[in-house]
Amino acid sequence: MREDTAASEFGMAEGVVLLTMSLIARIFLTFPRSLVEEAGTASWISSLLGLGLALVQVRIIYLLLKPHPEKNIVDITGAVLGKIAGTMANIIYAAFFVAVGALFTRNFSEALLLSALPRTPISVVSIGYIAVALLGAWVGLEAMARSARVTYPFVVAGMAVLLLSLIPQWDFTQLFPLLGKGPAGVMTAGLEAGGIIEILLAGVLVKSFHGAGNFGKITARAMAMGFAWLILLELVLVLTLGHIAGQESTLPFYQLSRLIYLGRYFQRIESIFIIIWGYVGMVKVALTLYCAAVTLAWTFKLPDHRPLVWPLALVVFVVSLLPLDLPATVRFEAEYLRLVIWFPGVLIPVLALAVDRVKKKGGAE
Amino acid sequence: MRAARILAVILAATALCGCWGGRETDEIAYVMSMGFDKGPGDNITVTFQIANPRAIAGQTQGGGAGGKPLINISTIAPLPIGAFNLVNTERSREISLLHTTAYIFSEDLAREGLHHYIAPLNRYRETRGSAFVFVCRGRAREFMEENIPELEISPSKLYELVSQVNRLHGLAPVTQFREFYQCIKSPAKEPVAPLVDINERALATPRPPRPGKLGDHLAGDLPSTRGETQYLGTAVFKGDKMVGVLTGDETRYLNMITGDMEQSFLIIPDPEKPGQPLGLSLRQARRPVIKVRLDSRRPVIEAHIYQEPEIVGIATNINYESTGLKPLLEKHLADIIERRCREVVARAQNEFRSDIFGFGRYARMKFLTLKEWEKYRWEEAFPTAGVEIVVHVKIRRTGLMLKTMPVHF
Amino acid sequence: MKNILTDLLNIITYRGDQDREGFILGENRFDGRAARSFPGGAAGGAEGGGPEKKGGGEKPRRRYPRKIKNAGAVQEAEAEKGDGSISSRLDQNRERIERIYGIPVNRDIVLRDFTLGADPPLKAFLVFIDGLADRSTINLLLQNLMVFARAFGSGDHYPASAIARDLLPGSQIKNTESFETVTEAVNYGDTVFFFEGSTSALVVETKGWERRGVNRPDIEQTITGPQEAFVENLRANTALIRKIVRNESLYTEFFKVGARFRSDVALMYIKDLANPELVAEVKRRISGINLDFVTDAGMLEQFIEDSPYNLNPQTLATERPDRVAAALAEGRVAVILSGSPFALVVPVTMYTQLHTGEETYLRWQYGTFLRYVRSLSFYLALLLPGSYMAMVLYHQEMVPTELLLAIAGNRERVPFPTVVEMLLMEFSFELVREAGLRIPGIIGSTIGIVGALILGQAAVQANIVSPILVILVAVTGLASFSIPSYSLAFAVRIHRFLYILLGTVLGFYGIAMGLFVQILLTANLKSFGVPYLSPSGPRTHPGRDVVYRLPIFLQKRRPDYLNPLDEFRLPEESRAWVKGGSGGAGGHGGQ
Repeated sequence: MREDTAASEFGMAEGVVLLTMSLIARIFLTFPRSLVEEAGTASWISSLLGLGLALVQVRIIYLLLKPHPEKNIVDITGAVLGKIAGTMANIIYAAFFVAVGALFTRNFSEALLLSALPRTPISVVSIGYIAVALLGAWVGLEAMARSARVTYPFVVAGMAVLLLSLIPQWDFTQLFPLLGKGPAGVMTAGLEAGGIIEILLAGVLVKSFHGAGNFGKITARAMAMGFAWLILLELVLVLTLGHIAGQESTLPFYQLSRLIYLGRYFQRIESIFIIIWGYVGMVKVALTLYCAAVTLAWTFKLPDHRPLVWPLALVVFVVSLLPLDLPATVRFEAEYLRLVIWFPGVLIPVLALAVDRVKKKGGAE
Repeated sequence: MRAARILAVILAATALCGCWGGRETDEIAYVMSMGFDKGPGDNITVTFQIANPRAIAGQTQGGGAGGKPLINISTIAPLPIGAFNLVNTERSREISLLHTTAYIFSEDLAREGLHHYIAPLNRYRETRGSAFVFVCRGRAREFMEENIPELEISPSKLYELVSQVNRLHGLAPVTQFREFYQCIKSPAKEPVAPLVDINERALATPRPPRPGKLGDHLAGDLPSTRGETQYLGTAVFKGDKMVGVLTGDETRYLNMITGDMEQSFLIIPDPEKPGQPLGLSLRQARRPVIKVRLDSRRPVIEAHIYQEPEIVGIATNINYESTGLKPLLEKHLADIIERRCREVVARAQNEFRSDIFGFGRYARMKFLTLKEWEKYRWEEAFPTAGVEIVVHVKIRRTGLMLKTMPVHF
Repeated sequence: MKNILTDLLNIITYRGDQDREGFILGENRFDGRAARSFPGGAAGGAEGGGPEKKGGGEKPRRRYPRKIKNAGAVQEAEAEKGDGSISSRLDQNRERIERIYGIPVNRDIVLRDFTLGADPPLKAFLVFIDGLADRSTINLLLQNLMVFARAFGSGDHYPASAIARDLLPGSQIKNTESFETVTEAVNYGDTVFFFEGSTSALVVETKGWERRGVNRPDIEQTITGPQEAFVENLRANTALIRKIVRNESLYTEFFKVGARFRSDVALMYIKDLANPELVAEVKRRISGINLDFVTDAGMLEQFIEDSPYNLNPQTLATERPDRVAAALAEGRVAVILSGSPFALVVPVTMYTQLHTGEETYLRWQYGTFLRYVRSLSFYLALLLPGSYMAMVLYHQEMVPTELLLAIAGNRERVPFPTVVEMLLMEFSFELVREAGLRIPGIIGSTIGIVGALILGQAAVQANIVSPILVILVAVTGLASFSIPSYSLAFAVRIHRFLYILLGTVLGFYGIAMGLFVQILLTANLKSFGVPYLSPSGPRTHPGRDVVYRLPIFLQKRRPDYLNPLDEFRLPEESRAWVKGGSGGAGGHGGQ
């Protein structure tokens, strides 16, 4: 394992793009809708706020990582918090990754069922996701990062085409009232937008980044890029659909792609975008699965993460089928996961950071 | 090798399970347009206009005897989507809305409110957001039966082209499904829909056009060949309920204020010799600029309209191209447009009490939060608003004649 | 009457074996072992050169016992050869040669006794293979030894080295003392002289067999650029390259591959450009090959590539010396096998497979245009049929209404599902392609794309397929022909079938899955340590010659992923006559 991931070093571009892809996975799902629901026309301001929060989290994890150049967040938590608490914390991380992986599997499968494959059994679509994610996690981080890098231009081009071809339907007055549902709503939505796991993922993968120094750069850039897409999408969503129809639609991105109308011949091209968001979803699930496996492997000092991939994939699959229906899944994400995310995402690292600092001081005296 | 074997098994399994949800093109009946009429009780009569692919492909191939290109089926159901299943009991093929380009509602249905029918369609994944919405003055079913395109192969092309031609005359609005839906939900702009009907009186007309007005009719009333389908005038909604109609001429000014009129032909009385017509082709120079002031309870709206007409026909011998007379004509035209716009706004405010111009879109820019905006209750404020129309006219081109010489007697 | 009866009886009665199967190829005790136990060429202890397998690893294969108890004649000869050094007695050597080659039976080998016309006369013989060696050269040699030797004659002992020095007018002469060298040389067209009383034999280079001349390239045709192609002769091939790369640091190293049947492998690289680690790795892999017999570069390729289970070709087989030269100049390594008219260039990337070299000879705008056309055709060949399936079965809303109705209308009379139509057409296209290749030349010219189209036309009229499919398959076929690498085109064709299945089963979602898996596996692939998708994944310095091609004077660097010893190929001022040198402004370019 050590050799395996040590060998899978990649450049900055790959790291940034991998995290960005993982980060933008949510904008294809119901998430932008819930921002509009919370913040109204000001959902893009919330996204901006979310970016600020994300950068704060990057800073926290960076501070935690910096004094330990050769370690990742799992090692540090284990070392700093002691054997029992550290292991507990790491298991929480892994469980969290599994939960996120399962959630996204379910959400993406549901989205596909809604948009393109209404008669396909959901298990088939889920199994498809899990299968490719399994392959991704098995083949490893390097290949995932590279393939993300190769495909990112296509993803960007596709989304740019989508957002730009809606220009004829933009109505700038839809952005007003500027503050939407008021500061409180904007803040809540911002909190929701800022609750992301990519920083934690980056903390797990830090060994592949050529050192903790690059961690800050890579993660901050990925945040900027990922949130830029979120902000753009929120803007275009409100510009095109308005905040009322915007919060009604289950899959805003898909809804937007349905609206493209550039003359008689170039319309209803939403299916092309299925390739894009289906793909990004696969990257996301594969990455979370990989990280879950790697976290567990590191926690228990196993030499290789690969044997863990199979059972974890099964767990992800089963968990993904647990929610009863789509609204339940969405509620689970919006009300539960996006808030609970702060616990492993910020609380544990802050705790670890504090303990680390105190220990250091104690050592110095 | 083992992996290959496993892969082969998986592939075979997937192939043998069949295609999950794949549908062959020849198993589907593509609905080209859908009509809604009032039915018995709470039900509605839904009419599907289904394309017959064999006939349509036969036309391109040359050799097919495929029968009628379009088939109309009507059924009675409480919800539009539910009608599918009922139709499927009669037709062998699955009904699909994937290529439906027009939804036609009859007027009496529209006056009762359309949300009931629009909402399920918006939820349904097959509906096209780009489909067009029409309101039929008579029965939608009859309209669809009459509306067999002669020039086009498929009705979907017909509707698309009709909406394109609209931009050339500006006598009817173009309303797409998603826009209609958004307007139903938003207080900032009320929906409108083009009126359609069949001309049943041939060249007779219930009301001769008022002087100096072109297209001052509703669909179905325009003197023309009997049995022609007409797309003329506007159905005005308040919320999801239809509250009135605008004639083609009035629609022109509605489109002018919303900025949707790209081009339109206008006949005005000659300023020097009243009673003689003068033809102008209006062209929008830039989108209207609308300013809203909310100082008092009564909002004040100021709309600037910019037109660059081209002189098309001067019936008299007056040389309006000359620098001296051109401003005169411009002023005259501006006055007429302003007056007509005021009339339309007044109708909207007093008769319909519905902000079909979308002034509310600009009003909401004055608010900081949605709560304040909603509290203002624009839909109540609009009828009291003072609307000021400022028309800027600049004749840029005079057609192929730069000067009018008098007729030699 | 009676005759007929007996004949009938003869037919229906059983009459034992009438020796109809007189010959049965019986099992042999050494079956499968002979080759294995053969001393493996240059494979001196190098462990299997193949790629280290990941994960599961290879199960230890059954090992055959190394020792073979009762070795037959073959083994005996072999054993002798093992310790065989040339004896000083001519008759012993002669006997030995006869035994090695089985002279009276084996008629290809010419063994000629003669007497050296020295004083005193020296008995000698020479051996060569008829047809492989150049007869006129041998006659000249014999003439010198038999007739002109008198002028030198002195002493009773005339060492072979002296003969080589004074008497033999051959340009390449080698002194050898082992029979192994002797047989090796004779097998490759050289002539070997043995002399009485001498423990060494003289190997004189007399290779001269019938060979094909240098022709125009058949497979990689271009309009511009050099029109030479490799031939089956190794030396001619290296010369073709050397003719272009006129540089003293172009190194050619030789290896022998093939345990029983030796073949020469030449490894060419430019010493001060190619990364030494890369050269060492290629050498390690080539010398690690343990196999019986190599005839073509394609076989060699399968032994040295990184990942045999991936569909993508990991070496570039080219028949154009100018391409090899260009690759060498970038710091790549070329492997040429004797007898194969293809050179293998390593390492390669996906993008190299889509280049032809012609783009560089054309002006950059044309070259860029060509490459974009080709990239598009790559995607078309890969995805068009699959996307069509997905669109027609799952995403009908995408198709313009009129087209969809036309498709549906034309399908009305077709009795099969679309996927069957598609597979039928694709398969017949592959069939036409394969048959066109196998049909003898004269008839073959009538079969081709046209044949496929006629087939399609007939199929449409018979209502077996719908007409749009014929267009689709034809376009896909054309697109796949425009992929310059033959191997890559194969990979694309196979992938295409997978995409058809995926598109049929799961629509665009299936295609997205396929793309994810394919891109993942391709990104994971390496060709001689170089990631297959560089320079785009991983991102390295683009080099301005990947998909688009900028003017040559802007391509200052060699591909970064090759890590060449000299990164820059152009000086700062490559167009010294322009003010500001090679500055990227390109003010004269066609805007």
